[in-house]
Amino acid sequence: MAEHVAKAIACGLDLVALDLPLWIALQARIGVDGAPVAFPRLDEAWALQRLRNLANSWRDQLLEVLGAMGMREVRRLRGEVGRIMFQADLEREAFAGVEGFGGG
Amino acid sequence: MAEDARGAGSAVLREEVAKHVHALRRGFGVWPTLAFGLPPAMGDARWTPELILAVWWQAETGRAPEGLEHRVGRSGGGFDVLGFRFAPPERWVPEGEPVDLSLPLNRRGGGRALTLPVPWYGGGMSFGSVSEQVMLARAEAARRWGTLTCSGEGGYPASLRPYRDHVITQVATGMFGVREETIQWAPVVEFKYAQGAKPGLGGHLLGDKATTAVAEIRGAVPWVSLFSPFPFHSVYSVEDHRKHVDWIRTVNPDALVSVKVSTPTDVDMVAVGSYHAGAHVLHVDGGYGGTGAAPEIAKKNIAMPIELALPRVHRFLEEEGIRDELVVVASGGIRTADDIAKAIALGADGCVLGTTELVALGCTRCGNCERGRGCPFGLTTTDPELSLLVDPAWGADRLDRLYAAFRSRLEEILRRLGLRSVRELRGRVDLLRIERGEGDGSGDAR
Repeated sequence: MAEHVAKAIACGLDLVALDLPLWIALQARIGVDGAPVAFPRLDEAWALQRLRNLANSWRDQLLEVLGAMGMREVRRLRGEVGRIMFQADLEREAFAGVEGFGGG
Repeated sequence: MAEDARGAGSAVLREEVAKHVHALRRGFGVWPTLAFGLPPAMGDARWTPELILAVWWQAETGRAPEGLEHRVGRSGGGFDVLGFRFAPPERWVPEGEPVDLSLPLNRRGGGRALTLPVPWYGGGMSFGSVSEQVMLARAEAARRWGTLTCSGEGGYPASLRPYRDHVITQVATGMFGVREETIQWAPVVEFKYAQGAKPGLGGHLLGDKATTAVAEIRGAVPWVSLFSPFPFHSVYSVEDHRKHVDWIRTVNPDALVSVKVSTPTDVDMVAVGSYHAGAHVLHVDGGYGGTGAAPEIAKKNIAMPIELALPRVHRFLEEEGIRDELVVVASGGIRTADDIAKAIALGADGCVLGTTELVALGCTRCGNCERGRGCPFGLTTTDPELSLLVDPAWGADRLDRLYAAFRSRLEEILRRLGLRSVRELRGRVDLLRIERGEGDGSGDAR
């Protein structure tokens, strides 16, 4: 998902490589039990446009997140773990006094 | 109003509107009976189809439905896994004995005394994001209940003036429609520093919705996208914010000051800063609010859910010794009366309703809010014809009945907790419990 790109970079990566999302964008039928991945429709122009659309959408979403953090370049995001909130930590802090909270 | 602009003599328009209004209102009544089952494509994990239909039912009848889950969604976290630790029946507050739901908004002086009879009010939705008819419906409901609604950042339509004792004037970064008189009319002035649905991003009204009427009231050019930048470029410190508060107090010394912020990890520090700048009300807006116009990646990933932010704010204000002087209200994910009670138990004084009110008026959470003619129910539109689908009096009646259902349920929760005032519930996390995967369906646990 688009948000995973920003999160991965914030965790320390410089860039991410996409595989499965590209297949899904091309409407792949993912094989199970060793069956091969099938692409029922793979017209080149159509496929190229699908991948362009996906890249544009993810770029826009990355820009939204960077903008919200006041960053003008993605390289500044690398390793900024201080920008990350971990759900488990937040729940532990918020619900520590609540009966039945197992510690997250 | 829009009909006048189009021409009152348009019999065709009136006939078309009447046909659609009849069909919609029939649907709002029939679907919650489950005569056709649950609509398969409606809602999401937080706003489940059952929850949407339950709100419609409450807006139709003024009471909670039987056979529809009206208390929680199925998100698997937050409010949806919190339940109440009700007292044994012998400790319940008996029916017939009063339960106090009132919420004083001024606990530190320096402004009018203002007490709401219920611990909620309507949140900011601008003229532009929603239609004038929706604003009027919300204002009329607020007047009937003695509570408040908010102008949002889109100016103050003249038709709202009769309701001005119940309308919060919002001052946000675009300053759209902010005028001296709208500050002077307001019982409460709200500074919107951030919005939980899109923290750090500001607002964005697409040109499609910036009709001539919207543009005129905002002092802008029609059919051009309007941006409210983030942040306030005149505020980079608590002292700067203090200047804003002083400015409002000079224009209207009687007004209370509310500060609307989102839920970053340092929201507790923001709360203290807001207090020292002179705020009466801190409005903490979590990430689950916003219409379909807000970017999904922002709603899901930026800032904290409201359930996780409230305890942090409450505890920090207590540690600083100022908790009893600042009123904390929560929004951004408050869907039900149960959510209101849970938010208060987590540390809020009251809540602010937004999406819930739109759902009561027919919203199905389809998410087509950003387009000029996207909303099939005439809610999040400024189109002069589409917005005729909502009649303000009809809408006010629905909100009136929703509020009645919420009041009944909130009173029921307090009675079962053995509390005589909603103020006794604040910060009582010991009265909550986590019920992950334990939905008992008894109507008691949640």
